[in-house]
Amino acid sequence: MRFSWKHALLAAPLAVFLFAVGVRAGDDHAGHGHAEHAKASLLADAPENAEIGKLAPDFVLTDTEGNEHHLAHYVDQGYTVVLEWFNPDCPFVKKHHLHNKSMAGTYQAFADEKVVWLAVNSAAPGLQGYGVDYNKKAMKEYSIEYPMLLDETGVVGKAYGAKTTPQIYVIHEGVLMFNGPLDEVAKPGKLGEKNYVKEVLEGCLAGKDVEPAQIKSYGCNVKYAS
Amino acid sequence: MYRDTPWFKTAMAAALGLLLPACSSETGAGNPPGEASGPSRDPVVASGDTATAWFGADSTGKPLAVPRWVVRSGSLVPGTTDTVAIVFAIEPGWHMYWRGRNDSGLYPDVRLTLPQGFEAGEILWPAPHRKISPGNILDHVYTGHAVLVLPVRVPLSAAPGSRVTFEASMDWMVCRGACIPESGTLSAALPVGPAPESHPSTPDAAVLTGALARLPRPLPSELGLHMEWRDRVLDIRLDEAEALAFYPGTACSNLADPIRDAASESGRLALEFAKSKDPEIRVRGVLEVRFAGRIGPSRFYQLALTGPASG
Repeated sequence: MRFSWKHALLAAPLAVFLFAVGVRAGDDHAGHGHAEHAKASLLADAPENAEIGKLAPDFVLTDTEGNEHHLAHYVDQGYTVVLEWFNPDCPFVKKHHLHNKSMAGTYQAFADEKVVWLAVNSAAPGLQGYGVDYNKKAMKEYSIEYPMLLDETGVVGKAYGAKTTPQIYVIHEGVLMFNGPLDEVAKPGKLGEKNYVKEVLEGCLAGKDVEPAQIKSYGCNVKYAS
Repeated sequence: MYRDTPWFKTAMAAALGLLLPACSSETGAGNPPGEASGPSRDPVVASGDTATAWFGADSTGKPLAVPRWVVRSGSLVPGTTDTVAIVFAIEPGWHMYWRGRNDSGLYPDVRLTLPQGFEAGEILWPAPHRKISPGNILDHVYTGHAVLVLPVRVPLSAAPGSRVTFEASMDWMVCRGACIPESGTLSAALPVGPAPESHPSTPDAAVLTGALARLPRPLPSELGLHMEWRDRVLDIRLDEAEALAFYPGTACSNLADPIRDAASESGRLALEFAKSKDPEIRVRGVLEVRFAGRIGPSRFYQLALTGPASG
């Protein structure tokens, strides 16, 4: 039909309205840019409790600096995620952070890769290793460069079945590929020859067919309240 | 074998009776021995333990678990097999670990130096107690005392009236809310000679007797224990028992849920073993039996069998 100013003026409010609705729909799925459905996280169907070889349970935890970390966000952005259960005073933790730099060394080896390394402290209030300031101090003493997530209710630790500090989980493409110790020597005074975490990360990042592995961890018990 | 029966061992312990601890010296200097020339009615005092290079967190330098040597018969009789033990006195509220499967912690590591001509078997570990911590963490621990038992063959060449040095270089972990690694060398000059005539009982006697009673013995067939595999589950049944518990050793295959399965207040246990690529299920550990209607402590047996893993 022929353009008519009358029609245009009538149509304008409708256009504005439709535009507004469209923008609003976009806002409901902020950042994803899909007007109709939010793209579901890779972890949407993860089991509640961690199982080796299955999707890792999602969580949100705050670190010692007050920053929130959402596992699903890292996973959906294609990061491989390492979770390291930690407690400052545990002799087995000191083996890797103070007497040796085995944990930092492993972290550094993948610093330029698409890997996110997160320490997690599940100590409950009043128990050994609890507290923001206490952990900040430890991070400084051990020169820990990655975030320290505080899980004081123990919900995440229990979902992952974390029993010792240290205990390390590797999540690749949302799947739990490794649950275990860093090295093979279950003693606080001697560093082993093997580095299970490095092996798994190298394999996963190279796109190799890595067999999910759960190895018995060693360490101090995680200090849950109940 | 009658020697293995509990009554015999108790009778022997009572008869030999005298347990002469080496005097512990926290300052690190050995105490001078009381000289014993031939049989004596006075208790023979073994010479001092020398505790050196303790690494404990305690600022006074005293470990949370203090070890000493104890000789079961009081003196080491040439040509016999005796029992020597390292007895740790553990600070109240703290615990040490048993040599078995624990979720956390660390059991003692012991490197022995025996006197010339002496032979020792493997260290024997008395049965532990189960400790369940929040988060389904299962450990097997000792509280009060941890006793490491060492059967020792005393050579004929050992000179009565002499003293021989036993040395143990050790690392161990003591835990409560926190875990403290400790280490040191325990050294003592223990007496060689005939068993003394008088056998006064000492506090160490009770500790060692208790520990010996908790050493797991071979499973006697006359016990009447029924064991049957149901896929990955080992059903254990003993009608005379009012309680059973299983403590998995270091070589034991993984249990699916030991907190749920490995202790019961009945004569039955159903031990489910975790799925694994290994076609074999190795059951290795200690079975504790509390007998119904009997006064007295539990009995402990070695459990060692291999299961058919069907499917």
